Amino acid sequence: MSRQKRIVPQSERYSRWGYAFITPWIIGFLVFTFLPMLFSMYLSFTDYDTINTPRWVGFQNFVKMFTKPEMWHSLWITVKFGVISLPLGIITGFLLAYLLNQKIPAMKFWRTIFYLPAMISGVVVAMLWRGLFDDQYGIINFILRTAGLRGPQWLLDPKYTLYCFLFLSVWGAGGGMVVYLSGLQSIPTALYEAAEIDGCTKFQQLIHITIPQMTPIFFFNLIMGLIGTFQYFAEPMVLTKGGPADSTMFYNLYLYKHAFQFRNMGYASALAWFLFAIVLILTLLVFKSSELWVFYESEVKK
Amino acid sequence: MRKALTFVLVALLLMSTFMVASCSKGGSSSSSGSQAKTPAKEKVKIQIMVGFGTGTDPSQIAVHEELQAEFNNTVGKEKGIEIEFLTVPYSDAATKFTTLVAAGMTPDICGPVGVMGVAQFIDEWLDLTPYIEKDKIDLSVYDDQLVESNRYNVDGQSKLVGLPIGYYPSALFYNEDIYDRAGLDYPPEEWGTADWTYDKLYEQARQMTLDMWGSDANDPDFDMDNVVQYGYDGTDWSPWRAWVGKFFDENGKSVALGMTDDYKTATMNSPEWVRAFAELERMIYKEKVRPRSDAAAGASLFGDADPLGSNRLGVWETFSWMSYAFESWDANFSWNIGAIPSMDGHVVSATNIDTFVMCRSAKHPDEAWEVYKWLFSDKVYSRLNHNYGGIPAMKNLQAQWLDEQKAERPNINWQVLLDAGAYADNPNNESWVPGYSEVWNEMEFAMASIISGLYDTPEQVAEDLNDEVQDILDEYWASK
Repeated sequence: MSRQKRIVPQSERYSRWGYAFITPWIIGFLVFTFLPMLFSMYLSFTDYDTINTPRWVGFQNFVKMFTKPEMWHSLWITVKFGVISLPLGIITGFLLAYLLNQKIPAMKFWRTIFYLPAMISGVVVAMLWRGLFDDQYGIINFILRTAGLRGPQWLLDPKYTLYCFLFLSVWGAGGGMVVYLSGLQSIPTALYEAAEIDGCTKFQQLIHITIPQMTPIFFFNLIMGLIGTFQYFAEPMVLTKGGPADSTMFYNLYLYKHAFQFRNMGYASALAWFLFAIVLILTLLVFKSSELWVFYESEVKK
Repeated sequence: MRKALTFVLVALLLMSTFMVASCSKGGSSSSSGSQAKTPAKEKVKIQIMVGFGTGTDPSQIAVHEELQAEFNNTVGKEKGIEIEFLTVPYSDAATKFTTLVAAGMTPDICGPVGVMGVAQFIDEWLDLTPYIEKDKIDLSVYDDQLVESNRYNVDGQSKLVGLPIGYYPSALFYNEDIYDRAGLDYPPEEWGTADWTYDKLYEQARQMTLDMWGSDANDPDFDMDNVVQYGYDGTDWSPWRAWVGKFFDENGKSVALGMTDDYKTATMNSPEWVRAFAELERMIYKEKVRPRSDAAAGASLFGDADPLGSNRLGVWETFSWMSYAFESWDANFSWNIGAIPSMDGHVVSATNIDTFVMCRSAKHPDEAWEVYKWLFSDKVYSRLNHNYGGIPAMKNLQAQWLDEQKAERPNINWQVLLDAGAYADNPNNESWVPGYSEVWNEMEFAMASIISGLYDTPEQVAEDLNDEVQDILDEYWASK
């Protein structure tokens, strides 16, 4: 009996090759992300100092976490920062993109200039702003002094430290700007032409065409910004290390301190999972709310 | 689709098999290799981890490399031991060490390491007492107090974790130019003089603290928000316990520990601790002689690393390991060293002490001890100590240290540093307590609250601190 060679459909062959090519990624994901996540889940129920064997303590770390005022303080700092910086970053990025989408001279130059901060690493940005915020020699207080005002001790006075980080986040709004710019350029010009024929002003076009068309981009930036806010770390680590007097103790700094300074890896793992839960819930809420305010051209609402 | 998944699974299986195989192959070959060779001929490698303190500068690494080559070519050859210095940056040392221990690759010896480094990993160090007794090591060649500073009573067990290599007392480093401009007498060179008190130092410091319009801190119009030169700084550069160690209880005992001797009850709300906080408050807000800033953020007026070097500070109470800055001070102003004043009749010089420790979970303690003895032999000890810049804890080398300092900078009162040894703090400002890093963090937070102005009263700061530390102690003992 002769063996008949099975003809493999082209799509299946492509699939095989596809899976073969992503296998290294799958291995990397399993070894460096998924398994460590599982391990950190286990650690969150243990007392582990990174040297001795983890000791099972049940929900003790979670109880400690919810009863520690320091944890709520760090969460409050992060939320306060996020509530201000997130809308501020979205609005600034969008307005910049909107302006740079107009026909203005040297547009490529301005786009590059506003995008530059997004190209610089957080650590370098923090070092740069550290110099700018210096109360004696920094340019911000120099300008204030020139205007006859007394500049505060930006990084030393707990009343002002959070403002420094808000400045920093707005300064980096150019990163979002590029995404908005591509969104703006993909809005069909026919919509604007029709609106103009109907006698719409520029402002009406912005409100009734541009912003609704841009909602998927807002949605994307909101999700990314939300996650970024709760992961905020490099800038406060370099600028203030959580000080003065814990006034900039962002959640991630608090977590880092327990993991690597105090070597409470079990407690830090519990903090990490709580952070994961917060981000997950907020992201799901945003996704859920998107049905109400995000407009997709191809989507037909029921 | 199912076939594709099977394909991926098979690929994963194959790759993991290769990985496991290659790992186990490496493992078995090394073990079989070691079995194949004659065990007696196999050299034991002893790793010395450097990074917990000084010793990481290129010039210092070069000395370590010289010593490594010297040992491996002489003593090491005879005894079948090879040493290797493993240098890591100070900021990474703790993480690196824990990783090595967790991976079963514990270094054999760590050093130079200060009291704080010892305290952070107190359970990881070997008790040297049996080795010292076995080899009849003469401890009387060292300053007794420095030897004792390495003896710990942890969870009821006493252990000597290391021998002292050098120490760095604190003293007053002052800018003579600023003193001269203010028309003031320099701080005394002698320790314990009756009229040299903190009140007297504040009096001097007020005259040296100037605002941008030239008024000093005695002037009613003095503008404390626009200060361009301060009279005194110190506390936020040292641990809080370096300051609180100047306060003594009614039994004449320093309250630096902040807890009972059994480490179970926090006493950081005691009248002495409240007084220590009140005195810090006085310095900043009443006397106005020191910056109102947080050490973590760095006082911008002084720069990050060297307040005295800014040439905008009269007196800096700090440790002698600031020797790395002497050269830049020489270039910019005249400076000198004076004795620390008394607080309520007690004179205390907070002191940092360096040692080498042997790691408990290392694989070759006996060979490590042979290396340890070699490091502490007279000639090598002298070279190591010279390399780190501390005052030798070995008494017979102290006169030589003094001569060397005098030869290099004849105008400096080096004797002040040597004499500081008699006033070294006890308990040491960095000494071990349960939940070390967390307790430390809470103390620094309390200090920063006052420096930053985020507090109600010193009593409340002390009370809050005591509650936090008591929680940490309770948690520590509950886990035992």
